[in-house]
Amino acid sequence: MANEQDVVVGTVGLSKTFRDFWLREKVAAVHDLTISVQRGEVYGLLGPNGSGKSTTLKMILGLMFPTAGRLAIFGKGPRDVATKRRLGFLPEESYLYPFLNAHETLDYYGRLFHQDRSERKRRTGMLLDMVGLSGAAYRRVGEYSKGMQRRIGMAQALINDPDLLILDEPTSGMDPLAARQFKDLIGELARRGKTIILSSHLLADMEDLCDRVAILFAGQLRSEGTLEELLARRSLTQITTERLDGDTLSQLMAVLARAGKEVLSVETPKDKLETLFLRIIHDAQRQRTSPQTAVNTGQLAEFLRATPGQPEKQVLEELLAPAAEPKPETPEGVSAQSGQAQGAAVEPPPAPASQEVLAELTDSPARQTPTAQSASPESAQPMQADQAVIDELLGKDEKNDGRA
Amino acid sequence: MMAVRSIWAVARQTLLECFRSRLALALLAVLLVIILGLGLSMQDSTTLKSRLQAFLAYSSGLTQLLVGVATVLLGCRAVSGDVQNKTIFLVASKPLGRWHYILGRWLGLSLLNAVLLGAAFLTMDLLARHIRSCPTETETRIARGEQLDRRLDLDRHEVDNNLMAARVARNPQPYDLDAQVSAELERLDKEGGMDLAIRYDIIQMLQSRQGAQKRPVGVDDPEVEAIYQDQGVQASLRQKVIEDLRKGQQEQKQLVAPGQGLWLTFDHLPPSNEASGLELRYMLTPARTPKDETLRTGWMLRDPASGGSVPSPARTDPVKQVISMPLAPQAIGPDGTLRIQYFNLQGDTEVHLKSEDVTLLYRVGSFEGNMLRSALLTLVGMMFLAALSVMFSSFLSFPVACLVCMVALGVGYASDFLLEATRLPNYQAPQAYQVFCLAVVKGLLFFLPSFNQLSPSGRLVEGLVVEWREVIGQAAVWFGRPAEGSFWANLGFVPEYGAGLKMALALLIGCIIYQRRELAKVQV
Repeated sequence: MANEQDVVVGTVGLSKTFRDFWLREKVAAVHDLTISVQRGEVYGLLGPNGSGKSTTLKMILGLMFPTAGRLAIFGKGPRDVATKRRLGFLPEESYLYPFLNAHETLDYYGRLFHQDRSERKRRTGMLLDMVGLSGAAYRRVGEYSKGMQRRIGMAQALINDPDLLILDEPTSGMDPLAARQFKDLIGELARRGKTIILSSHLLADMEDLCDRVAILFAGQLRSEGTLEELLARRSLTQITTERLDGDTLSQLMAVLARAGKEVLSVETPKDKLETLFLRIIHDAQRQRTSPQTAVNTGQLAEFLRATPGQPEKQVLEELLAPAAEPKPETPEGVSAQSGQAQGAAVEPPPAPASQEVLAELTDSPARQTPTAQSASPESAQPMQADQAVIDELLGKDEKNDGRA
Repeated sequence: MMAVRSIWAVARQTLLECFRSRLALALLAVLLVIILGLGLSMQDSTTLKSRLQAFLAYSSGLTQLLVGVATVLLGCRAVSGDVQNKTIFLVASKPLGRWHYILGRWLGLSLLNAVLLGAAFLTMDLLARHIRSCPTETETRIARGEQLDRRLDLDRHEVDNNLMAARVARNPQPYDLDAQVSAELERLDKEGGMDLAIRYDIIQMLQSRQGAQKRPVGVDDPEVEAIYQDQGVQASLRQKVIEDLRKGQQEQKQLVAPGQGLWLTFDHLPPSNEASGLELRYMLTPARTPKDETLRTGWMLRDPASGGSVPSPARTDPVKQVISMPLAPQAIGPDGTLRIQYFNLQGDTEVHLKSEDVTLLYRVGSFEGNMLRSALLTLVGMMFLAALSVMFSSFLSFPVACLVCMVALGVGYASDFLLEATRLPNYQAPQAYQVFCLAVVKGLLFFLPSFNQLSPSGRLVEGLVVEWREVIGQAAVWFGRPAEGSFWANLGFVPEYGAGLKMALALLIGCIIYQRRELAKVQV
């Protein structure tokens, strides 16, 4: 049971029913939703269009009032002004004043947080740097591309260094590079201890970022849990190795057949299109940048860092390094990519940390991580059942055969 | 303090938004071009005074119209635009109370109004000075070499002393008619005349209702008797008879027979050494208009020093025209009273000199100061309009809010007419619809100020002062003199309020509605 102090957003039986002019019930946008978002976690609201994600977020923000149920943010009502000092919000589209430039936009929102002039100036500069809009800071937001508008939208959401960040479709309308940068930024913020609520119907985004996910459909909560709990396919095993020749592959199949295991598929892994795209754009950016468009520095704004003053790693650089210099992928490499580069897969791997995958495969004790992704003892059991096969694959059979 | 910073942040943003949207700038440009055009192009007027008056009338009227339109358009878009464009999502997710937002929007619009009106009135002032510096016809003729006396240049005198000034206009003290009215009332009651007067009123009413198919109705008619027995109707008609009596006495008092005189008393005047530009304005209405349409008139001032009377030379004045006659400030006594007697020197007709047709004017301030107060008075009206448009904008869409504001503006300007049009008849029990109409109009006028009172145009054109008391009074609550017989008469004062209180009421309603509304719409 989570400590109540750690609950950032909690809803109990939250419902929102829209009525027509005659007050007849028209549609239940959200029905009996009970969720609890813990401090420091990235919580995803996943669902198709019209599933009630945005309505839930709007109720959390106090833009809509629940028809029934209870809702608390940091233990207070959603319309409490003081609570909003700890909150940052990026709506599904960046609803910005088109007549303001980026600098004025951030300055205005900084004023609403009662920041003094020097603080506003400092944060505005850093945020514009962070989202790569320094070169376009004095262009009107109305002239921005959608991607640039999303960036300035993200910057305004961070102007107050919020404890809770609510992001509605954060990567919608963005090109893959910008989307990747955004996801990196969100990941970085999560590592800094921010609580993040993410709403999206883009499964890849959720898979990349979320600790826990709630799946909504027709306004109702259909499933909730950690990605590990929701995604792991315990009945299958995936092995990633260097390219196998035909003989080795046949031997492998034979071993599996002897063990009574059916091979479902054997494939050569491919790069994801996203990875290829990122590599090309990254190379191009190194050669030339246009100051009038968005150029991400990959640097987290200083006031958002845990320890101000220390330079951050270039998030983008870090991400692109493996893609820019392809090399044979180790199991660690595969899992570190979290599904970006799939191995010679029997089945695409889930997203646990690479050490955990190895631990499972080699039957060594799993590293206990404090995150919600750590596997439960029950979920580890099916892996033990396959130990004999793994031993055989790792060469025990050969040893035994030799002894024999 | 935090609230102030929030409100200021929104106000600043609103001001920026108004200018960046170009509507305000476009209106300002149009306004200044029109004012400049009016000031520089009005060459056809016969006198400098009429040219200046026309300029002041058109430019101040246009300023109010254009700034009013700008306020309504921008104010109605202020909140509803944010909701429609969803920019409110970001604003509402910040630590900003909803009432901060509404007040900030209103303050921003008010600042915009201040900028627009400041620019317009400053331009008007500069152009009025330019027109004043233009030569009068007499000065032109003198420049051409004609031998004329500059001191007799009435046009120059009017422009310099009466128009480019701030003057107070006072009507004479009302005549004390209570004794005469009481005596007449007593006589009527004693002789049964009151009953008869009431019955005649009822007959008149019945006949007016019958329209074209009139039938003879006598005082003993059963229908008349039935209405007469209604106590409410009787009391109402009795009051009407008393009012008619008073009116009759007043008219009789003001009707001056040939060779007779009528004293007029003006009080609460400034000391004689401070009163400059003293001027008497009057209009004579003869019972029978002479062939030459002029009247022989004599005036006699009471000299406060000697207690005697000082006659002025006899005059010949046109009938039914406003006549202006300068007076010496020494005519004002140490008690701040001036007495002057009118003589009807026309031998063949009685002359009506109504109190409202006689005005004493004197200078109390400069034209520039008057322009400033006029701008502020206009600003109060525009601030109310901003509050009204923000209020409607807090729950209506842009076009609907605009429409409602325009209607409200029309009602505000036509308030006097609407009150007169919905006045209940005093000779019969009112119909339900009449009561309803009156209630609606009174309700609207309780909420809306009279925009005529907030318009300084008429006074600027006449060179009349817009007093600080009035400007402040329009922006606040003050205590006035209660009407006789009213509930407030027992307390000795009546609380009065100007546009300021109504503005606060509009903002309060706007805040309450906005506080309770959802800012996001259904999207399922």
